[in-house]
Amino acid sequence: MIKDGFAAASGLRKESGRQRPGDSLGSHVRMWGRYAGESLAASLGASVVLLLFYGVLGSSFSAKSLGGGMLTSLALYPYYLTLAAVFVQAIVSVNAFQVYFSVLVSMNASRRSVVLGAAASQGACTLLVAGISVLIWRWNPSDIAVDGIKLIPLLAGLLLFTTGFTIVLGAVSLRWGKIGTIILVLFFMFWGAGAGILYAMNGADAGMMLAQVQDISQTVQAAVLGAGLILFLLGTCFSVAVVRKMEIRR
Amino acid sequence: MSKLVCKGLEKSYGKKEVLHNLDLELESGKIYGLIGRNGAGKTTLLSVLTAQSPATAGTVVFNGKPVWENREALEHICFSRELNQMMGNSANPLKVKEYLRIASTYFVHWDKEMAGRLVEKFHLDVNKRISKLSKGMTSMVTIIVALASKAEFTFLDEPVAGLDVVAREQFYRILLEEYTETGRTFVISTHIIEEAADVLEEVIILDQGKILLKENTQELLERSYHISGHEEAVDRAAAGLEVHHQERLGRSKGVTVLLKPGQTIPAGYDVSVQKLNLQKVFVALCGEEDAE
Repeated sequence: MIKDGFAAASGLRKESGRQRPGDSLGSHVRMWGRYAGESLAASLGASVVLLLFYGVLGSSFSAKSLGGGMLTSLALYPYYLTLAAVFVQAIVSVNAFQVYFSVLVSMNASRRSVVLGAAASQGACTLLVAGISVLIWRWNPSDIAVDGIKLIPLLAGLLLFTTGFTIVLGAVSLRWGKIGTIILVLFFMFWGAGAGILYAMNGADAGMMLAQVQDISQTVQAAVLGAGLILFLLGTCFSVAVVRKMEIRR
Repeated sequence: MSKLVCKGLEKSYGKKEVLHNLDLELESGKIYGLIGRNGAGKTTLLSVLTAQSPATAGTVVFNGKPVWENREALEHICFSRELNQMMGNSANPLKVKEYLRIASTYFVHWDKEMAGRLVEKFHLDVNKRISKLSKGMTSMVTIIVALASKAEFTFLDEPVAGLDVVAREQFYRILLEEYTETGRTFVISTHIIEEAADVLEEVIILDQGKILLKENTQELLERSYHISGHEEAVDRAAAGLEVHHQERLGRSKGVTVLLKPGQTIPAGYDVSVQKLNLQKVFVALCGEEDAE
């Protein structure tokens, strides 16, 4: 038995090294910066796999069928990157809630800061995907690249829309269980079906589809970007509200 | 001296009230044992004290500051809770090294060297996913996080669940070393009462969401006795004393008594009087009475 007052008198005698606030901006930047990096790496990897896969298959949305070479492949890459990022960001946004929310709050991060961190990491990914696309298209002299750079607001808007939507889903599934997962599956089915219908309506001609997308006016693109941004911000605020009194029960 | 204080604490899940108007004060520099039967509300209490669950009513403050979503207060607190591999929304998909890396990011006083030393001591494979660990190994992870967090108030929920006897001994030894060296406060909930009894400076017994008793362990044991013998002799010897948990076998009877200051068990009766260990005291206070 340890005598009364022994330790009380001693206080915390051994402080370990440097001291920093646990829920500080620095902690979140380290945590979510890494998460954003992993998310971006997954998108880059998946998009390269998609590009190679469709290139080898000679699909209508490959350099081979569009009659181009390496430059055309690179000019198409941002489209594959966006496509991959839509799926990756949707999954990691939900994952942030399913896995990391409980862990971080159990380690004294505030609920609000976890949601904001997750949203910021995926917002940063969107910016990075858009930035990489701009870099590739600026550098690339092909017609696809020249037209592609005008689509950046549309692509960024779609990514923000997806991220905003899946952040809400993550919070909802955390709070109300499996319903979020069901909605996520329906969301992907909707995306898949929509893309399939669009593809079929264009006689399975990806070149024509691309031309149609490239014809979308800057006004419409700005509206999509604005809507994506609003959904992203509102979704983040909604998620903060949904989890603000969330129990940690692991 | 730091204090974690809760007042009028209530916690309900729907219509089920788990904690009832509970007042508790935890002082720095002590090892508290939180014991209670299954469903008594131990984990809920620890969760509410550490802001991992919101209270339905009442307040929890650390040195006068509310703990709920309060960085300044929470910096002094670590609740390394049991990792439940059967539930979703958890750390299951994470590798041990990832879990420890996150802990090192968020705990202010994280001792990386200590974490590494404990990983080696427990022979923990940090490349394994938490979902792939045995029950004992997950307990080791929670112990490592609790100890390496270096939080002034550290809460452990069933830390030795699933650990073999050697690992349990190791845990108590390391805990005492850490306590002696730093004077941190530990609050440990456990069902393996007798093993922990020597380590616990104060014991808090929780029963059906209420604190039945909070007392220095040694003082509690010094006033707890079991009186047994012939029914009439036991009744006379225990007259006027605080009696708990009676058991009968034919004409024989046994009772547990908790003496109040100044009380003694009267001599001259043909009864057997024995001191009790903590587990027996707990059973006497929280166990079910034999039918009359």
